[in-house]
Amino acid sequence: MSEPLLQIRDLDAFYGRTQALQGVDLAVDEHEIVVLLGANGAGKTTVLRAISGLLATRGSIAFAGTSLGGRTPEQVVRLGIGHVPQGRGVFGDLTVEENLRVGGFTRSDTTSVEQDIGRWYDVFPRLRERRTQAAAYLSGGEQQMLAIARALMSRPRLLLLDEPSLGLARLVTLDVFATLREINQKEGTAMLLVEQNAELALDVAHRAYVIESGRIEVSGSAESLHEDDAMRRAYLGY
Amino acid sequence: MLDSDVGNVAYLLQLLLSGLSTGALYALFAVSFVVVWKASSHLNLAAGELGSLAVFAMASLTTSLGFGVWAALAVVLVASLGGGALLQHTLIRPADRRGIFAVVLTTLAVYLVVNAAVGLLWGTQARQAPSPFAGGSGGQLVLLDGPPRAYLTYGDLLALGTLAVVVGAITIGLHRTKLGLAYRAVASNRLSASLSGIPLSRMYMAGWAVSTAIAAMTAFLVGVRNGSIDFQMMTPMLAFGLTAATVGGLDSIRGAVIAGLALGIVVELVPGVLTAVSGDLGLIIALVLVLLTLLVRPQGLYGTKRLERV
Repeated sequence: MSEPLLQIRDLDAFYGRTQALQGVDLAVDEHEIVVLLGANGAGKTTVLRAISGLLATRGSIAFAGTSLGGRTPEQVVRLGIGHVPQGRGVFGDLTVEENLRVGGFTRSDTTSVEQDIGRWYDVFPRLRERRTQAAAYLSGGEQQMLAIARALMSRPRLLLLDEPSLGLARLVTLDVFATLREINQKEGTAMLLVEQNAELALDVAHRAYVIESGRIEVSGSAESLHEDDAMRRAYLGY
Repeated sequence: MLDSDVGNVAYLLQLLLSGLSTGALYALFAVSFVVVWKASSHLNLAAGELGSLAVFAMASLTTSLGFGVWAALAVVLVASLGGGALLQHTLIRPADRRGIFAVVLTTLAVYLVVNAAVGLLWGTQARQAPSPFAGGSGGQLVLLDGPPRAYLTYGDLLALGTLAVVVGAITIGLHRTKLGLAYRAVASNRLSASLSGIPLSRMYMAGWAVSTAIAAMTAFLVGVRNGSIDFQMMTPMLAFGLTAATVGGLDSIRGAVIAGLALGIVVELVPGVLTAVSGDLGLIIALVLVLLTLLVRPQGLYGTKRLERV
């Protein structure tokens, strides 16, 4: 079997003296959607922050054969990893279109950046309608779509998504997840999705990990986790 | 209570004009604070002193080395760009890891060191300011002949023109270039900017570079207006510039310009109209305005509310 696109081995992370991650092993294959489930404070966000170089860690993170150790967030983006942070992180006082253009900052070919903006407008027609509005005035769901489109503007091979369902109505979340699936199928973009909303996330993912107190407790195919009642009740609470 | 000339149109117009030209200097200086604050939420307290250093260097270039005024100005502006970037990279960046107070104290230390250095190198006596005009601020453009006359000096016109050019250039730069868009993105959300591949450290350096050059330009114009320069010349400017920046909103260029011009007018007009208020009370007026702003609208007239520093 070939090397996975993202390979995390024995990852430890600390906030001050508190150990946030303990020996995390996790892999994402090319074109795969992987969901990382867990309760509040379990360490889900920390894993994403570690990948993006926002956090000093021990252990190894390799992306497409390159080590990410000691790299800055800017370098990680340029290697092909997009990151949609928790709470969406849109640029509130920039227009929708400016948000997308910032997303293409690492690319030098202006024409293809403009083409991509048009492409994501086709995927998210609401964004086209609101292209000249400040992002702060968008609804929660629209902001989430903008944040995803902004991250995709760097043409990542791997997209990190930190709780895209946070604060969204169930129907909007379903819509966002359906779009993610579609992007994954059409563009082949691999995704590492962090979620508390296990039920919906398992529907969209191929594989899943469950993290608790900084340790990976369970991993397997999304289907097997879905069907394992005991595991579901113990870790996912539904 | 009211000044006896208060009914005279030319007298009032003259107060307004000198208020505007003084205000242009406050506004320009305030813009230099805003440029740094927007991206990094840092206050560069040393900016004015770096400006003094620049204008004294200019004086030496013109008197001892035979440079023309404009050539000397170009040299010190380029040096200020480099100096500002260097300051950010070598002193501010390490201090920033220890928090916001470490940064403020570092800029305060640079303020004191540069101030003392200028005093040591060039002496504490006032000397002639480098100026493109004879006698400092040059001839007058008379708008209403007097007495009393209403006029603008060439120095005033240069100050107002510089403000317009600097603000115009910054506005175009921020809204029409890729680098400017990146700068606004950093100002809007540092984390997302970083995750979009924007190198924060280089953006901060660019901000400090531009800010220091604007401070140097301000110091040059203060010298032109006063006709002389001394090592304390930028100390009162620090109070007025910070007032304008605070009242206008520390992250708003437009706020800095409007508040700077308004502050200049208030500082000239109030003592000019009310005999009870002497001319030295400008600083008090400024401080009262800052206090009122902080009480009523802490983010300033045009500033955006920020809950926390990311």
